[in-house]
Amino acid sequence: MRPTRSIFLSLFVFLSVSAISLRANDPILGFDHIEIYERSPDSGESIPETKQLIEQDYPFATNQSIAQLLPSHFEIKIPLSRKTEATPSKSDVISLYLGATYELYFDQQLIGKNGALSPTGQEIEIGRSYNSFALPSSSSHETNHTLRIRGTHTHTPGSKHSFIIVLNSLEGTIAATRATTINYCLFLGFALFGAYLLAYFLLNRKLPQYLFLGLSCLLFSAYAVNKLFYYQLNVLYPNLDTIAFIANTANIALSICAPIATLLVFGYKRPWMLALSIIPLLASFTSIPLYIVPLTFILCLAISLVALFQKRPHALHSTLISAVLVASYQVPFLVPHQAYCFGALMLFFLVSTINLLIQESRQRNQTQLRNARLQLELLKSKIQPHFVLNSLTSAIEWIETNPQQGAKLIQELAREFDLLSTISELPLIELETELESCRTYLRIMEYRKKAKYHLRLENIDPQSQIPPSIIRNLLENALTHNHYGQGEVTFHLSQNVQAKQRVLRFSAPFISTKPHSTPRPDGTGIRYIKARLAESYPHWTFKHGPEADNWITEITTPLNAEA
Amino acid sequence: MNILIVEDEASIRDRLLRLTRSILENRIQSLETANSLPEAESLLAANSFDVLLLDLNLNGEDGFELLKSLATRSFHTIVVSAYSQRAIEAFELGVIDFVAKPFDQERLAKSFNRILGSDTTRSHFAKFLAVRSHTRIELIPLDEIEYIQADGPCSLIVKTDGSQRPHDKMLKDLSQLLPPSFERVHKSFIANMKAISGLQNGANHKNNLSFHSGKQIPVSRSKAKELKTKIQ
Repeated sequence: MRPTRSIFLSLFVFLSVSAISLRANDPILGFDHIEIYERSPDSGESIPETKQLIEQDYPFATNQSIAQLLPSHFEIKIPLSRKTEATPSKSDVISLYLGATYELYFDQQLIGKNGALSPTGQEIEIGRSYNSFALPSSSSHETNHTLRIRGTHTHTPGSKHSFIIVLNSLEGTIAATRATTINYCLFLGFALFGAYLLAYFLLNRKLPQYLFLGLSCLLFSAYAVNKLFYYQLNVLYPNLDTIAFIANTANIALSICAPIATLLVFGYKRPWMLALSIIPLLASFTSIPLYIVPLTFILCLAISLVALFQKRPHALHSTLISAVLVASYQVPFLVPHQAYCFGALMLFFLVSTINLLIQESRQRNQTQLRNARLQLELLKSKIQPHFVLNSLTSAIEWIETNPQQGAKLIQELAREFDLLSTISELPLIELETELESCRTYLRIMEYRKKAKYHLRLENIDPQSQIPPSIIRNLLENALTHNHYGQGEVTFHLSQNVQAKQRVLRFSAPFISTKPHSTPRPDGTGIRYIKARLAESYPHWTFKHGPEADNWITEITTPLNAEA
Repeated sequence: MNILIVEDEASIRDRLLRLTRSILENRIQSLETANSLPEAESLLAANSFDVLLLDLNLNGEDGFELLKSLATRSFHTIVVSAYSQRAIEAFELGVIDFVAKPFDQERLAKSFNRILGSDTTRSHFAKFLAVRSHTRIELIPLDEIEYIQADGPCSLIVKTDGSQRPHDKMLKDLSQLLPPSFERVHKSFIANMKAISGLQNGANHKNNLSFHSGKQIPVSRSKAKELKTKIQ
């Protein structure tokens, strides 16, 4: 499936699931302001002059998050009113995401506790981060009520965790909890996808963007899992600081990794471009009313739009993904349903992974085909008619004029064909084996050309690996294209290792009628060498040209080949 | 016979030398060797040869372009090559023989016998005659040739459109390359029998072969009898 189609499929699924899963809450009770008091740690009584009135335009809020530093000993009063047109429900539930130990009173009646408090309000038993309480049945009949929360968070005195109040019917509460849990599980899909990308990078090490994409997915899932712990797993409230620290650290790392991944995907590799990834982190310290995560996605969107303008590959996909992520944080009606956006994206990533696997499978098949073709070409080029027939002609002449030498030439030919049929099946061979093939080849050519050839080695590691017939092709090129006559010719091969790179340097005397400046198109031998190098190494270079009276060839490869 | 061997591999070059000497013995006037094209061209410029033995893959170069040029010269060319799949192409350009490697004395002797005229069996013939035209080589398809006339030590090709092209080879050497549809009708003429319109009896028992273009060439008496039967 094409990536573009998979995006639209994912969005369709997202909208469908949203439409099915969105269940309108129809709570009866709501509030329009909240009062926060400090309590005396000794008497437990509220200190009136410390009232902090948070009065905002809630109008009949039923689900509100308040980011407010609570005193260590606090009392929260929430006047509730009933929606007059609402049908009385069988039961209402209040859910509190409040990191403290507290007692909950509804119209002066104690309806629940989170942990345990002494009569003066000291902590006896530490409370948890989340609790739900059923409201008395009278709540749905009377018009006005008061909710009072008396609590303390002496274990986390300076922390500023948001506390969330949700009023809902029992059915709505159960449905919301179930939907939220499912949604957060989708986040775990990001972890799996991130792990896959990291594994892909570690196995291939070809594309660094996979490293950063993988890290981004893992960090995002770490952030999401932390949210799960924070809101769903009801941990002891002092642990919220640790969870928040991990989440914030993941956020910061994500804010850097995600833009870097986006930049690398589009080939923006310059240091000043990569430094742009620090913008969300810096911006989060300013007065911009945006959290670091949406800032990160906005930056990714901006980078994607630039890439789209420059018509870079995958720009459209990246733009759509970033737009969905930004919208899930910033578009009001989508914010409560962020998880659905992420779920749709996970579906997209799943389809992309399938596409990637299919692509890799095809590439693997093509590589295997190419390998087979190269083997065949090696055999054909080395057992090509020109080589065989000229060698046989020479052998006949030697047999007729000097039978002893003729027999030796035949033996060398047999050894050469035997070696070739063995090494052609291997992607890599030991350099010593390659040199053995070269020595056999030179001995054959000595008979044919009635000349003397030497191959001098310098700093060679015979155990190092090399694709078959690389050096032999260079020798053959030298003997074919130079007018060496019947004299003595010495070839040189040296090896140097620098910064995890191996440089093989081959030198042959340059005696040609063609001027140095005449560029030669790559012949079969050079094309074979380059194809073998491309097959075995992620990156390599091949340079050749005249240097004084010699023709120099330099092949640079990593020390360890990608077998 | 003056012979030039062009081969870059010493052992094969020695083989050609040895076998040529063994085949031709005292019929050899000179026997030279070259192991590169520049060396060969120097020798060709400085000397006159009757036969050239040429390897088509000297120093990895493709010798077919050279072959076109050599085909315009006065000497016969015997190609000695491992690329037997290009033999037909070589024949079409006008080589007298294509000897595939590896070869023995018997095979090489067959080539020389063709040149000497003692072996007239052939299965492959030229399809073009190569001529030098200013700075380039022109390949004339045989069906555009009306007749070929002797012109001193060389020949003159007369085309059906009336134009003429000189060729360095003698008539007898050209007749060894041409297919049976080209017949030596006179000591000075080779006619393309596919271009003739008829045979006329002239005065004093002189016979002329006429072509569709209206031109006429003389025919020897012995050949005239043979042609009368064929044409009738």
